[in-house]
Amino acid sequence: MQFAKDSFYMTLRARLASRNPLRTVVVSGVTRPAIVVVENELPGSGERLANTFYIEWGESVAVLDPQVQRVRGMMCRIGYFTCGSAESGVDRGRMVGEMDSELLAICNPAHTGKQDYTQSPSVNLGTGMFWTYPKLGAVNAGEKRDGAAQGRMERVAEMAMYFYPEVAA
Amino acid sequence: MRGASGTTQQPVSRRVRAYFAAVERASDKPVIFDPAKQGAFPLDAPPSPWMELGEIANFKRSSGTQVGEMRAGARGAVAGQYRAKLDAKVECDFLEWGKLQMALAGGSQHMNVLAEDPNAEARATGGRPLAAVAVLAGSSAGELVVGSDAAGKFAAGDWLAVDADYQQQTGYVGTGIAGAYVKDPADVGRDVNYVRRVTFNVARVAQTTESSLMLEQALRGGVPEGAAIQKVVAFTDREGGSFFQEWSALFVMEEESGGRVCFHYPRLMAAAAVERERAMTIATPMSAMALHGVFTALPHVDQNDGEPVLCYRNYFPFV
Repeated sequence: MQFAKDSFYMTLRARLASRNPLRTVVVSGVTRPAIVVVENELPGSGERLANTFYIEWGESVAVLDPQVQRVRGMMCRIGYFTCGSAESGVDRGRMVGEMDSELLAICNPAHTGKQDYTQSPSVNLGTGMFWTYPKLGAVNAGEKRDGAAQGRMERVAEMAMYFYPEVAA
Repeated sequence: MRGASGTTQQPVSRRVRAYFAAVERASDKPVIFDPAKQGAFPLDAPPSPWMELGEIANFKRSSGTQVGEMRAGARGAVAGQYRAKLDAKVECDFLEWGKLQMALAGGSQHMNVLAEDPNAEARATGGRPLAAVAVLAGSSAGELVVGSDAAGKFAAGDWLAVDADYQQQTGYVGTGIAGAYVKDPADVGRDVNYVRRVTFNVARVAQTTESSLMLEQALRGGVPEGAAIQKVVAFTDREGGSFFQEWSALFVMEEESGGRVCFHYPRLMAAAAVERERAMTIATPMSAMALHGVFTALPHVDQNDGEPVLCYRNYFPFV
């Protein structure tokens, strides 16, 4: 399962770097493409950063046809927010729209090969993984929030990821 | 039902395991599963020459054997019965695709599409291939010695067909498992590569050394004399063709309670199938494709009593 998570992340990260090299984030002093796997970061690493995609893994998902026994499914949620580029924040809708477009673009094609990234160079594990197209949730415009969240415009996209586990069930 | 020990003897299973072995065509000899000798075999390590072909689903057996009645007397009562038109079929979906699964589901010659000469005329199963590479002395079923010049032509992940040149012979061809029957060399264009086009002696390169190709799995037929190698770029089966493959099959209901049930078909051939593939929905619109195989059982004479038999159902009580 970890190989699938890693492969998904590395694929989206490479695609983001290719599509918009300027969308970067500094995490622990290192500049990298602005896509982060929450569970890979230090616990309590602080406030989330604007204009950055945050990947969170969710519950397992059943395959519709129970005869397809070896495929495993898992929910993936990608959250992001922006405060806009201007102090007034009036362009935050446009910036969320840009991030929507980038997310849809980097998730397409909705498949990749599964690699073992614990080795360098990574090793092809011989199976593919694939996912549903992202379902963009409603925008939370932030006006209903208080304190630091005020003025943020955020969205969470959901998709189901499918893969063949390393060990057959 | 309760056994003598008080255990419930109702088999419980959640999957069926399928094992196949090729019938030796030249001698018409099926592979016999001996329940006394082999019944308790570990399902992950079937006895040779049985091969497991990955997961299957939708396993279904059916019988079309007719039972006729002999009536006698003034009132025409049934005085006896007889069996006629012995007929049994079995079908399943192969969830994994590969040479053997495609061959079984297709039933006719199963073609290895050989890497082609770029200038070759287009043909539906591949035109004139690149020249074969000779297998040198010192090779084994798991390692092919080809020399330092030739080794560089191959890479890990390549599929290979390994068999002898076609020598204009007639009859069954293919090392280990008969891949086709040649009636007349002219039918196959006297193609020196024909045996490698149909052979089941295929394997994938795990890694290369300076002069050898190490294979991921041993060649089923070993390395025949005069063997040569060609790269395989695809596998193809066809609707049509005159050849019928013949297989022995063993289906085992993986026991979870109540004992093991095995179905043994000494001789199976592909039967007419309406569906060739089945789509299994993962999440709309994504589907996994399964190969659908339907087989007709051919009779085998049971050596213990001379009866013609299509299939056997074995039950091994839970111990």
